[in-house]
Amino acid sequence: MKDRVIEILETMHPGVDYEVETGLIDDRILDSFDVVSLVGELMDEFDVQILAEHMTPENFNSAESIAQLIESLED
Amino acid sequence: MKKLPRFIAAAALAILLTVLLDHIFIPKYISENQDGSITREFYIQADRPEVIFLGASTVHYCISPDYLYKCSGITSYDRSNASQTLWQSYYLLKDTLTVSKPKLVALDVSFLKNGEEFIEEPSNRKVIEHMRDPVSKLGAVLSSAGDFEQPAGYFIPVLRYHSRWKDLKEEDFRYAFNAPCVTYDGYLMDSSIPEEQHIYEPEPIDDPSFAPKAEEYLDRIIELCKNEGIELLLMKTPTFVNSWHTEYDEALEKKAGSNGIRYINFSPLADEMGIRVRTDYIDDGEHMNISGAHKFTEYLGEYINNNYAPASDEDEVLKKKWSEKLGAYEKAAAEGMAAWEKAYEKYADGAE
Amino acid sequence: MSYTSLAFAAFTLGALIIYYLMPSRFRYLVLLAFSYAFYIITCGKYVIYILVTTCSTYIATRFMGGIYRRQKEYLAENKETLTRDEKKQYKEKSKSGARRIMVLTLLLNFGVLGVLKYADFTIANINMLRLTLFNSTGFLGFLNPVLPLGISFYTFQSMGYVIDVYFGRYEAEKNPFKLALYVSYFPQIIQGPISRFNELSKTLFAGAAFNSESFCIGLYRILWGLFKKLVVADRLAAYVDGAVNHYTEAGGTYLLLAVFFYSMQIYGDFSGGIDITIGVSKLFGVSVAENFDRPFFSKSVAEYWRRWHITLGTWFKDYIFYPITVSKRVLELSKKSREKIGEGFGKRLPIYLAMFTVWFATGLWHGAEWRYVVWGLLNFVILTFSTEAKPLYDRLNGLLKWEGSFAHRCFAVFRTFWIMSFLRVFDLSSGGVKMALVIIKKSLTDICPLTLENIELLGLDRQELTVGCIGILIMLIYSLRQRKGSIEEAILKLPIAARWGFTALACMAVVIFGSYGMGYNARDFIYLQF
Repeated sequence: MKDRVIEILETMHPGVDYEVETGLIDDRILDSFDVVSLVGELMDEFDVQILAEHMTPENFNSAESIAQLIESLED
Repeated sequence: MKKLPRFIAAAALAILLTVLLDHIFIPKYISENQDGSITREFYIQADRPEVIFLGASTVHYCISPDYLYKCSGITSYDRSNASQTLWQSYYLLKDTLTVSKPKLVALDVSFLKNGEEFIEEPSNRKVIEHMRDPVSKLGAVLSSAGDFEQPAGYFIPVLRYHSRWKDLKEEDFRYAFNAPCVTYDGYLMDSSIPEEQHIYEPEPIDDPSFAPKAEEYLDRIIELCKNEGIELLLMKTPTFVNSWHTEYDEALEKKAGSNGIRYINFSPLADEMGIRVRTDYIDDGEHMNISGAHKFTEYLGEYINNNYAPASDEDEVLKKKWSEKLGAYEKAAAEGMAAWEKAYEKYADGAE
Repeated sequence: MSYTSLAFAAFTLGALIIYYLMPSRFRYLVLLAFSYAFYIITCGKYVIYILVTTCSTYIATRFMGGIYRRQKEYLAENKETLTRDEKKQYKEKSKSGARRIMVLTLLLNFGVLGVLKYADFTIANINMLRLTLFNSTGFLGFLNPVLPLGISFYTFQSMGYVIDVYFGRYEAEKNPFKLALYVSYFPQIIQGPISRFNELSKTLFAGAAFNSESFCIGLYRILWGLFKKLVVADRLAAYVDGAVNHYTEAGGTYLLLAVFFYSMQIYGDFSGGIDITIGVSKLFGVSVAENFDRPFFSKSVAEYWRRWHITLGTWFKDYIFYPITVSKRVLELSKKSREKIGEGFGKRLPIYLAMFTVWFATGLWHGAEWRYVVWGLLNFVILTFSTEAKPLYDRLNGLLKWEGSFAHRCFAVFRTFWIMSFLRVFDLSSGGVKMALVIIKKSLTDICPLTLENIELLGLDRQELTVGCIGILIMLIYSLRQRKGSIEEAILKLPIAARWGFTALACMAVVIFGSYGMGYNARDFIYLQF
């Protein structure tokens, strides 16, 4: 799961070490425009429904947290 | 529930404050506009009057209850107001009955031809806002208030008059709770003679019928008096206006006849009373000055005594009260007559 | 029945007495009965519209709920036998069934709202087009429909609920009476706020026990709302109307004053009304969402829109902005434009497209006229500009070295306040966009000295003006003090004498200085002596 998230992240916004980065939002590595595209890609790829209330910095700060979010949504 | 006493205290405080504001904000009608005081003063001055006069403004300019007492021993009160409608007279009568029961009610019928289209808010307020019996008052409000009026404002006057905060004067505070009386048992004394006068020729009328609502309330007054065992006199005070027609007299005579009561139009008798239109009125032959009022009152007293003979009250306390009032009145009347005479001289000079 | 009328006070009192006399579990039914009574008293037979919305919402959400329940059961029963793809297929089938129901419900309800609110606007525009393009004067007639009370608010609120159920945010309400109350709840029917079901339902159906403390807080909140509405807003309205009605003759500075007063008026009126809604709800133990968070202290337009009419902003964000930005079609469009036009443009496309839609809709929400559309789109332009110009700002602020300083914050608040105030001129100018532009231009360029005489001519004499300005000052002090926490709670903690004294003064201020009733002209009473 996490690997596939990283894959998507890298095609979108290369040049970041997504394995270790934990401040994607807080450190402004991704701006709101990036997050929007990312969410679209994730919803498409994993077939989950990401809602407005899931759009929190905590959920998108790292590849790990993104993967967790998707797992929680898959059930 | 342990907070209940607090809630009650808060409610009491709220009522107290409202009453305080009501008394401050309601217009005072002391130094000017005194006709607005007539309803209020009834509860202060009236001492079990045997006769109650109801009607519009002509009444409180042409009938002086104190002078009536002097001439004929009849005790009375004027419960008339500017543009007082028949339904307002009806509710004022009901209100009167909660205080004391008169033997005779004399109703001026001038406003029978006026329906709702004639009412204006200020006259509604002057008649009703000081009424004390809540039931009669509610009836008066509901039958009188225009759609634009807020009925609650009659019971909580500050809601109506709050924007007077800009106009508040010293007298609003001074007279908030103990306003003096400015009328003499409802009579408004005026000594003036108009500089110019126009008496208009009567015009023919198209429709001799009364306003339906006014007539309905006339019937209710008749009914009420019957039920209460009060005698009722329908009268037209002496005026020289062109808005009254013989057709009205005929209709009223018929109505009076069928109800076993009397109707009299005093206007044609003005000559007999010695009333002079030029010098006994303050305007174009409608509202009387003191000279005219005394002449008419004297005549009216005789008329009442001849036709009704309301047995005079033997209550000594009451008699004393009335003679005290008469004393005060005579002092004022002497001044009033002196002023009238001065005006008369001026007028006579001008006439020559 | 306006929220500031005595009739409403009596109505609420009646509702309160019966509410607290009833056993807790029936209390929501009392609210429902009074809500419908309120609706019928206020707009009679038009209650049919709210009934249609309620029924369609209930039926739709119950059907969707059924679909999701069956899906859950089916998946649970066949957990072992189904492959991942089969599960996915089944889910997709359920979803598309639910989607069909949702779309139908939205079409029905927004269709009704659209026809009632925008049909005449559309007709006027068609007539205009035909006249200009074909010189045709065969005008279509207007429908002049009557707008049922609160239709925009209850439609948005109910449709938000339908969408939430569709997305599985929470389950559909099974009790039709509870749902009917959610749609028609009388303290918020006239002007919102637009509450979300999962929030409002926590307290709306609970039938809370009487709590004297929160009851008093509710009363204070109502009092404050009445003050803002009656003492400030309705008083300033006299001047604002006067100035705007004479905008061609009035000097620019008088118009500038009107622009300022209008901001105060609209804030006093709207947030005051919401204060009454929240306060009245508190009397019933119901918590309604806050709709304002001291918006005039915002440092940017974006922040302002998070603090003014909050529930409408949230609605647009959750149900329009967000779904558009992450929708498949928009993302495909974004991808394509990244390839063909450029990375930057493609990346921004989803958000700006969604923003454009939201602001176009927000404009139309405020009224079916072009000036509202222009107003909405100007908001869009300003928001886009400030996003794009952010690097520039950052550099500028770096040069000035004042980022975050008090002066910088004041400047930002001042700038935001006046931007929003000037935008509001479009709301104010009943004569359309042209009139708004004239007023804005005049108020900025035609500088002239103010005199009390002229202000009086435009509607406020010296005394009224003084009361209005003191009212504005009190609103400012209240807002500043609010940063330290709830003022209503602070009042409750005062010693009893101080508290009662303050309450009495505040009540008297509203009763005496409120702009209500017929006004008093002593002359009317003097001339009517006979």
